[in-house]
Amino acid sequence: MVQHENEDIAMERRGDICIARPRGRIAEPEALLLEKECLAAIEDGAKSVVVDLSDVPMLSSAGLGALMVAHKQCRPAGGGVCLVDPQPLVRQVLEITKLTKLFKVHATLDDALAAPDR
Amino acid sequence: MEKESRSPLTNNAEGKKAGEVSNRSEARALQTELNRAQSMIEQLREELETVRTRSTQGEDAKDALVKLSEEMRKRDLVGERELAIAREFQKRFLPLALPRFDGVAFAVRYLPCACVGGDFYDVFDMGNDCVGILIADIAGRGLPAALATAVTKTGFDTFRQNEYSPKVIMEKTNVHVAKSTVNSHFITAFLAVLDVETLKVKYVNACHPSPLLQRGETLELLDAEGLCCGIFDEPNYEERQLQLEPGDRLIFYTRGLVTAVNADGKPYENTRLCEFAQARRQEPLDDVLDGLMGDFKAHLDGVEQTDDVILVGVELRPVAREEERIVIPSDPQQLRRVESAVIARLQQLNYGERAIFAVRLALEEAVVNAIKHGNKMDKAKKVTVTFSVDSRECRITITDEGAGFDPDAVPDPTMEENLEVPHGRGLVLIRAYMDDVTFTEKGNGVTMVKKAPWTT
Repeated sequence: MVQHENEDIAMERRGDICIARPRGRIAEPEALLLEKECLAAIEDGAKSVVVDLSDVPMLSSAGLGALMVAHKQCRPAGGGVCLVDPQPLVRQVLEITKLTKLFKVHATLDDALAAPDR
Repeated sequence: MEKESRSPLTNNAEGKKAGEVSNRSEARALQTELNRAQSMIEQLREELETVRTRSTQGEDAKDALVKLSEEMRKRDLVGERELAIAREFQKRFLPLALPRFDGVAFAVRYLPCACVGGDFYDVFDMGNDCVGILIADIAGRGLPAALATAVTKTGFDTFRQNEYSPKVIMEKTNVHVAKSTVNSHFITAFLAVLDVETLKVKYVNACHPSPLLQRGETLELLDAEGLCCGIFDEPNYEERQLQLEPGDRLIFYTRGLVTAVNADGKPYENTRLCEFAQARRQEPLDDVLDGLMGDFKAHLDGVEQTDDVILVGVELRPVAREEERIVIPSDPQQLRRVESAVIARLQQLNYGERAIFAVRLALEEAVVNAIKHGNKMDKAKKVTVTFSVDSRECRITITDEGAGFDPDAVPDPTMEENLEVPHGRGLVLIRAYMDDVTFTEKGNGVTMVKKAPWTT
C-alpha cells in the first residue's frame, strides 16, 4: 500500500501486469503520486497498467496526464494503460476529452486481465 | 401597503332624504321591487282618477298612496342598510397585514365599487417557506355577494391548512361552494403557492383573468385550464409549475379592472394593463400599482365604477451579490481551502451532485492552471479567487500574477494528433463543465459561471 493524505493507491503486480487501485479523487497531488508509482512499476518490468477507477469520484486533467505518461512508457514494450469501471461522472470526463479512443475501458478487473490486448 | 377607497354612501347615510337613491347601481332585486312599486303607483293613480268623482272613496285612495310611499321609503332604507352590512363584511374578508419574506415584496391596491362587489384577495404564510397568493372575483352586489364571498373564503381558509397543492385546495373549495346555497354565483379565482427558497411557484386558475409575469423585458400571461369555482362537479383544474427568478414581477387583478367601461363604451382591457405595466417596468412595484390605479381612473373619467378592482403585486427582489474572496499562495494543496468554501455554498443552495462535480472540476483545473502556467509554480506569487453563489448562478473568478496567455492559441487536445499529448486538457474541461467562460484581455484571469440547475 502506498498512502498519501486522504488518498490510497494500492499497487499490485501480477506477472507483467501492474494493477493500480487509487481511492478517492485524482487531482494534482494524487496524479503525481499515481504517475510516480506507475512509472516505477514499468521500470521494474511491468508491461501494462490496469487502473481500477471504481473508487475514484473525480479525475482532473492532471490525472489524465498521469495516465498518458504511464501509457506512453508502456508502448515500447507493446503494452499500455487500460481502465476499469469508471464512475459515470468520470466516464463523462473521459468522453469529453475523447480519451475513450485511447484507453480501453473494461467493466471489471477480470475482464481487463482476460483481455488479450489491454 | 394597502389603500382603501371610501364610498360616498358611508359618509352620507345620515344625511340622505327618504326615498332618494344616490347610487344608480342598486341590486337587481331592489330594482324589481321598485318596478313593482312603480306599477302599483300607476294603478293607484288610475284608480284615483276614476274615483275622484266619488268623494267617499277619495280618502281610501289617499291612505293607500301614503302607505305605498311609506313602503317605498322603508325598502330604500333596507337597501342602504344591506349595503352597509355588506361593506362591513367585505372589510373582514381582507387580510389585516401582508406576510414578510426575505426576497419577496408584496403590494396591494383595493378600489371597491360603491355597490359593494364580492371580490377578495389573500396573501398568506403557509409554513415550510411557502406563501399562498389568492385573488377571487365573485359576481354580484350587496349582501348576496358578501355571503358568497364568505362561503368561498371560508373554503380556501379551511382547505389550505397543511396543504401545499393549489389544485387540491381549489378542488376542495369548489366542492364546498358547490354544496352551499351560494352555488349559483359566478366565482373565479387564481391561486398560487410560491416556495420562497427555491422560487418555484405552482398555480391553478378557475377561470380568472390571467395574471401578468414580467421577467426582464418580457411579459407573459399565466394561464391554466379549469372551470369557475363552485358550480361544476369536474372543474378539471390544471396545476402548473414555473421556476421564478429574482427580479421577476407578478401582477394579479380582478375583472373589474379590465371590464370597466368609460363614457364611450370602451373597456380598460387587458392590453392597456399590459402596456402600462411594461412601460413602467423599471419603476418600483408600489409606484406601478399607484400609476395603474391612476390610469384606470383616468380611463373612466368620472364614469361610475361598477365592480371592485383589486391589484396584487408580487416582486422577487434581485439578489444582492455576496462575493467572497480567498487569496492563496501558488501551492496546489491550498486549492482545497478554496474548494471547501465554494462547495459549501453550493450545497447550502442545493445545487446538486452534477453541478457540484462540474464546479469542483473546473475550479481544480483553473486554479492549477493559474499556479502552474500563470505563476510558474512560484510560491511567492498569489492566486486570487473571488466567488458568489445565489439562486441563479455560481460565479468564480480566478486571477494569477503571471504574464497571461492566449486561450485560443492552445492546441485542441481532442484532435486525433493531439490525443497522446499529456497536457492541455484543462481548458477543454473548464469549457465543457461551466456554462460561461470568459478570459481577461491579458489572459491572466478567467471568470467561470455555472447556472443553477433549475434555471436551465
